[in-house]
Amino acid sequence: MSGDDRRDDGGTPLFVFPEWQNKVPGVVLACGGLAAIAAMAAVWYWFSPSFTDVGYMPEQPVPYSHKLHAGDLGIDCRYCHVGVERGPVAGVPPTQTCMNCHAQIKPESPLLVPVRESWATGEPVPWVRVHKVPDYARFDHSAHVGAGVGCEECHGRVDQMIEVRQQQPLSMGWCVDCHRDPAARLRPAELVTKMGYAPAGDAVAAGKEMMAKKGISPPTHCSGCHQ
Amino acid sequence: MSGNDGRRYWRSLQELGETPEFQDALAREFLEEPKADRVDAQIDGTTRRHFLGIMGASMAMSGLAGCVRRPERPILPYTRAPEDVLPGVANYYATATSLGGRAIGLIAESHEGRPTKLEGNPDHPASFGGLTMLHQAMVLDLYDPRRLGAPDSGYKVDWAVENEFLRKQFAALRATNGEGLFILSPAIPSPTLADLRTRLSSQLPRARWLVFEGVSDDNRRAGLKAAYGGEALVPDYAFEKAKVIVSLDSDFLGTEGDVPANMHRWAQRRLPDAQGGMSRMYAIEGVHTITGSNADHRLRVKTSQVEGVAFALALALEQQGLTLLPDVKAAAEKLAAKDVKPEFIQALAKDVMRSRGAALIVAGRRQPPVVHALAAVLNDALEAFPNLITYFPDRTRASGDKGDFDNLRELTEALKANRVDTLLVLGGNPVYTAPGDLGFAEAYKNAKTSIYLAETFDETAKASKKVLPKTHFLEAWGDLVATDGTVSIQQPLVAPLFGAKSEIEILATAMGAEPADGYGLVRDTWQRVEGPLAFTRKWRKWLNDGFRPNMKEGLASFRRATGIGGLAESRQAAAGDGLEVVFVPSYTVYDGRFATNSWLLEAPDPMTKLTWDNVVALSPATAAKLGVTEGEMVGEQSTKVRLTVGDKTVEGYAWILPGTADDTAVVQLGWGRAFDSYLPFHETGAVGFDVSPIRSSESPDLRGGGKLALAGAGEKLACVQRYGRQDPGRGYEARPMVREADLATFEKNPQFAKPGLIEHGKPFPQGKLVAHPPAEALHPEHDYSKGHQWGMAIDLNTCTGCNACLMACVAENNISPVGKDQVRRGRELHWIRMDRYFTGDANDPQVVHQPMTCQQCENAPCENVCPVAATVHSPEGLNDMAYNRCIGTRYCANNCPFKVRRFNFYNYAEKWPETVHMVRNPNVSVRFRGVMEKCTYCVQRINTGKRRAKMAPDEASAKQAITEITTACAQTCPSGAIVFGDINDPTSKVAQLKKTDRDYGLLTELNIKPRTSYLAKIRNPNPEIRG
Repeated sequence: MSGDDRRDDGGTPLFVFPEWQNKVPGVVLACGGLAAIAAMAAVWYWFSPSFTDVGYMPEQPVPYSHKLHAGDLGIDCRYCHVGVERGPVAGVPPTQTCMNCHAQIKPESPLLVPVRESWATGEPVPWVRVHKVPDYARFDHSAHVGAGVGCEECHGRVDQMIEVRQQQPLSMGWCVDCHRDPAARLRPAELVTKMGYAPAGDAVAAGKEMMAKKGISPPTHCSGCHQ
Repeated sequence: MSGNDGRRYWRSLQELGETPEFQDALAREFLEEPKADRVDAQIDGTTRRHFLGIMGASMAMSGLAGCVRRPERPILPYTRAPEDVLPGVANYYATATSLGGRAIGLIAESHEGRPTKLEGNPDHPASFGGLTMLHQAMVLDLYDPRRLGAPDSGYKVDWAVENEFLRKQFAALRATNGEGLFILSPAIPSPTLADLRTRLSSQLPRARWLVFEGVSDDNRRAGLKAAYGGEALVPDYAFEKAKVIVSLDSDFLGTEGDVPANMHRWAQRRLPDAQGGMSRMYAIEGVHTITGSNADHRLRVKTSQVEGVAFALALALEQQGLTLLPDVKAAAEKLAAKDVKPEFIQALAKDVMRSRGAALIVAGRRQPPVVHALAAVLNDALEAFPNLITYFPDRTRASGDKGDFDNLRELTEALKANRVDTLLVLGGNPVYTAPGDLGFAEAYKNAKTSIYLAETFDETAKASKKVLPKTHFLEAWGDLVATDGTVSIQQPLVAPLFGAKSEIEILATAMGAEPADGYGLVRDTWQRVEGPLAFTRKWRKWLNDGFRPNMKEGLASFRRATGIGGLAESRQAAAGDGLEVVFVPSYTVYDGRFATNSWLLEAPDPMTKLTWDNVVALSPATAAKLGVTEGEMVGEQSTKVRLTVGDKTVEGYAWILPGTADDTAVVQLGWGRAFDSYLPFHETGAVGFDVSPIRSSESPDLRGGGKLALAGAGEKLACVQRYGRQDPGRGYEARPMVREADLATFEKNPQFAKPGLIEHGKPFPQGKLVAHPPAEALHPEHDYSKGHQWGMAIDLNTCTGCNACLMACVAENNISPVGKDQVRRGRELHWIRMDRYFTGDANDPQVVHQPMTCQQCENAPCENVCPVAATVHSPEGLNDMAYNRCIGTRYCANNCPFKVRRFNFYNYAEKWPETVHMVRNPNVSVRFRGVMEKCTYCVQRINTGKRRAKMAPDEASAKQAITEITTACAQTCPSGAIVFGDINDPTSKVAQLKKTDRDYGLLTELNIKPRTSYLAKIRNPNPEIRG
């Protein structure tokens, strides 16, 4: 059956597409385009490490508070993370390091049961990894710390975190941003672990001076990180 | 391929003959047509339709992936952190190992307690920093998933029970003073083991201690005993002082003696500018060995004829004025092969006499004792001894020990006569390595109690009544004496992974000795030697340095050789009619002990370039005579043959190896063992065929009267040098890959190897010397004049083709073995391809070995064609490869003029057992399927070195850190042929080498500017010898 072909008395077809319908293809196209852009934007944002990884805060087997230890008590990062100046891995401290103090301090605390158990049995405490770069990217703590990149540049204000959360995306774009222009993120080597560091004068100028002095030239070629 | 002087180079007879099949293979992109991938489909269980289905589904699902939180991963720190271990930083320890009775000092790399890589100890006299490919691959055996006690091995040991058993067993033997106790030991030069042996003989005086090695040095010991008398001796050759070297069937650059040290010392004198002049090397042999392939003159005679030639040489030397001992003269008159190339022998004798005092004659393992005695007598008369040779006592034998095969015969007879109550086998898999004529395997079952210390569940373990797990050398304390008496403490890097114990521990326990732990035993031995005074300090220094210094004890009193001691009468008459069958140790699996090592199984044999198989090697003429025609060899098909000697027959594949003596069949020991495969694309089963059945204990290296019968078409073998070539026509003949000249030409025209001097399309001597018009780069060129610029120089003069670099690269860079089927399809992943070119007569060719790897071209052709910029250049001149960016188009491999890029077709490493993963270098990405991979100049080492330099306290140590950067191949190369470094630093060795006359780059006229360059090969032929 073909459409409505009734006509009025003047012979004009009774049914015509209303004029507004001429816009439909345009609107559809525009909406489709917008939807595509929205989808791209959504992927751009929601699929990126800035969204997927930043804020990652897994529950740890021991409710260890960085705020208490690093912030309030002021223990230097390197007391526990001993490898940070000498090797690629900063290192999660052995149970031994916990027990250095906790053999004396709060030795009965129920929160420290996993630590004491580990000490007794020799089984490690299964800490949950928060910061992770992919296997095909090599990151070396010693190189960055040696150059004067502060802990907080990547890890954030750990001294204010009760539980550690990921602060930065640790994505390639984020890495390369700094590798291309590191001056603003450099500080004197002795202040690397200082949280809330605020340079006295022009940070960029100071950073440039340090780069020249120490010969800092972060790689931006593939094999700098992918080896 | 053509060379600089217009001669032709070829890698296979098919290439030489330009057969249609070869041409066809050249034109094809894949060795196999894609339809052949049906086999793959079976392996994977994936069809094309299935693949597309999965593909669509995964596209659809990938959207969801973003919503899923990443999996939680634990970090497991130490509870009590060990001293000196910093996660992520490798530790290095000095240790030692031995192979066939030869000790070598090692530096082992350990990552968080996990040994991953071995290097030679630069201060150790058996290594000088180099290792062979066998040593390089030893670390993989530590993680062999088939080791006893490994998770999947189905074996568990309870040492309390076993110790009790051992003690009771030995205690019961005391009643008879040890009658019926036999101990069969491989040759281990360990003073602690020797000490236990002495103690055992006082405890159980009637016990028999027998040493057996299937690859035996009996002939050498017997010959030297005839010449010098006294105890068993080992010669130590100063090749660096030798002007003329004559090898009588000796493979001292391949499998005989302290190979890394030999190569190191030999290479010192192989340079045209060596002090005192470049050495000249003659090889007289029937087997085409690595040593022969590096000789200036190679006299191809049957192995049994070498003896006659040696005596002819003695006579010729006498004519030149050398005084021969009377018995030598008498024997020579009788035995000399006077009709074998007399003019060659005369010229050789003249050359030797001219260099008297700096001429060295080296007799090989396969030659009968009389040849060794003769060599010793001649060396003595020529004053090579004591100038170039030091004789040391053989530490693997006690006084009064018989030869290897006499020992095994004694044991077999005792077994057959049921006189063996307890048989303790300290390793070495004798059931497999015993020659077939003894019937050892059958007799072995007669032992009332047989106890075998096994690393894997091998042939002997299966035949033994009791099997105990033995440690890998990286798990156990021990001590080893090198040839020259240098003692190394074998220091463990890891506690026994699967609860094994070492041979000294097990023996001490059985004997009820105290202490019975390895550390206590070894320390005790040396405390007794050194005395308690300041012992701990000395001990620690040895552990740190890797050896105990100043212990060189040569032949105690200098004495003259007294003659050949009647050996001429007792020599084994060679052979009768038919083929001469020569048994040689395999370059890759040695005597079979590495036949479960996938790295070595996949390493190409240096001469045949075969992987995963052994063959009956024949000369082209003999092959033609026997009907193993070239036609049948074309393609990848081999010819199946049955080789019969006496009443025993083995079945295998024939292969033509140019340079093999005529009427000779060369077979390798060590094959035919089951490889219980953990590689996903390799089937479990026997690899190659075992030749022990036709081996005889009377004449273990050589048998006459062999018959070869064709048995139809054979399997396709996996040879890595039969397809492809560097010159697909198009003017390549004017750009020789290999450039060589003889010494005289080089001296006349030192610039002969330089690029651009060769007229396009014409061979060098005829063609005019004109420069190729310079090519220009498409894009503006990067300025590489600043900072570190990495480069490499490879000396073709000292490269012996031994494959040590290839194996070091495998170990350093996590290169996966792919399995035989995949190698047959040309999918091997080795980043270094050891090209072996023949040139000259097809039956008696000369050889050039050329390691070929990524040349790190500054204007790299591969980079321009990558659609995703996965391979781009670093400012330091490296051709970077970002695996995670690669999408696998393989355009780069197609555009690489050197064909050194490797495509990872499958996820080869995915299904490895957990233990094998532990051998991996954590600093190198493990490549996934679908990516291209290639040499990176060990960029992980460069980055580590640069970091060390940045963190160095002062300028000097920063410079030191940069100078120390080297690639794995360069570090291990025993002859120092590979040199790596910063070419921008004029003081670096590589920068200096690149300025020398012999330096040339490949295809430089294309303006690709390769960073690796080669130093042209110089041969030093005797002008008096033609052809």
